[in-house]
Amino acid sequence: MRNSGFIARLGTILLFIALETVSLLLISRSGVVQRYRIAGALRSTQYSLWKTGTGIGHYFGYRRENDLLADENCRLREELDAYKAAERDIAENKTVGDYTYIAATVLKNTVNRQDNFLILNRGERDGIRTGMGVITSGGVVGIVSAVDQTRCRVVSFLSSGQSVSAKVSGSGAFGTLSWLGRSPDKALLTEIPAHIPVAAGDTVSTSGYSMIFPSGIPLGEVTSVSSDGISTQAKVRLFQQFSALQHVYIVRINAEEEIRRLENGS
Amino acid sequence: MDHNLRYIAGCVLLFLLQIMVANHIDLGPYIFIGLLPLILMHIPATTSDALRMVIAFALGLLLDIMTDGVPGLHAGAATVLGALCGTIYRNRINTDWRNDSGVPTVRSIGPGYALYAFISTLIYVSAYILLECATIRPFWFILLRILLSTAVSTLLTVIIGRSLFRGR
Repeated sequence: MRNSGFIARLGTILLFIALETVSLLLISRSGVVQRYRIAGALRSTQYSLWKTGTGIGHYFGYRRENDLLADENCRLREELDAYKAAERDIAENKTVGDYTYIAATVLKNTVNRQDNFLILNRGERDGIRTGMGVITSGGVVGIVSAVDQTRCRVVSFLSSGQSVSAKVSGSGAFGTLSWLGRSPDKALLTEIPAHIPVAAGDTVSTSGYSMIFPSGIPLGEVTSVSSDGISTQAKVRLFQQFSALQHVYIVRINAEEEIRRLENGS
Repeated sequence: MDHNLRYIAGCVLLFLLQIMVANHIDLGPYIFIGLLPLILMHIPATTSDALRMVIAFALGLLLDIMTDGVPGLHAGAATVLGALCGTIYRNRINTDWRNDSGVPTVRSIGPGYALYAFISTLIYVSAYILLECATIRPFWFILLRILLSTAVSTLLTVIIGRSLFRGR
């Protein structure tokens, strides 16, 4: 009984819409100004509906799109490194190791401990080994410390005992960057010779001498400098947003074995 | 004369009057006289809203065809009134409609007849004017046209309605 009342009311509403639509069509066919106004209103409504529909469709494709973008990013980074390496070859007549970037998603991340870590969704079957560096476009993330078939554990840069070989833009001074242990965006650059000038505002990036991280990855900005006459220390504000990490890149050095052999003198 | 015949004769007369008014009487850009509500107001209360809308649409379309206006204007406005006036009559004007013959007349409605005429005319005139010149004319012009047209049309509706649809 209740359903038939609802159906009757729905039928009345639909009939009203149909009759008004016929009236509007008649009006739009006869009145020039009304035709343009009605057509304009219809087009606006259509565009809004199409935009909403497209937005909903895009939303469901975001995950796949993100994966595609991450893969493209890896490829572009490798291409960029190849160009940089070729440029250095021309300038210095030196061979530099190639890098492969493997995109990974962060499954777990800690930032509020003294020794923080991450779990990524790549493992042995993806070619991951312990000792590989992990980066993003914002800077260094950490170093792979343990690997299983499908996942790996990364010791975060925000851990005691972790450090990165860094250089200061402009002066080219080299030092060691390590976490201060308190705020996740503050680090300390040490072991800079005192005679090399370092100023607030200088950019700090990876030196490339660690055989873990490629050179030129931006790490942070110098905020203050202090010196004891022998060496200079600089406080650095990190670019990396550790609490917002979702997609990272694991760095594999393609010529790692040969370089290790050279390091060991064999 | 049988009531139904009187009603039909009254409707035909009103229709011819509306055509004459629309085609030959021009009271300026601010006043539009709409007498179609008078016909739709007196459709029996037992008529379903759907049938009322169809009757309204048909009458409006017939009026559009027989006048020099834009086809669809009277039909669209009459459909809006047809959708609402039955509900207004049954729920607000004459809640006791089941106990009389169900045909709205001046006697059965009583003192609320002027209010019923005003509401029906306001709905019809507003719908007509908005369909005709919404987004084309300035807001104040539209508002003034609605107010003046409603006032004149309501007055005529009450006067003619008391003559044609007095009831027993």
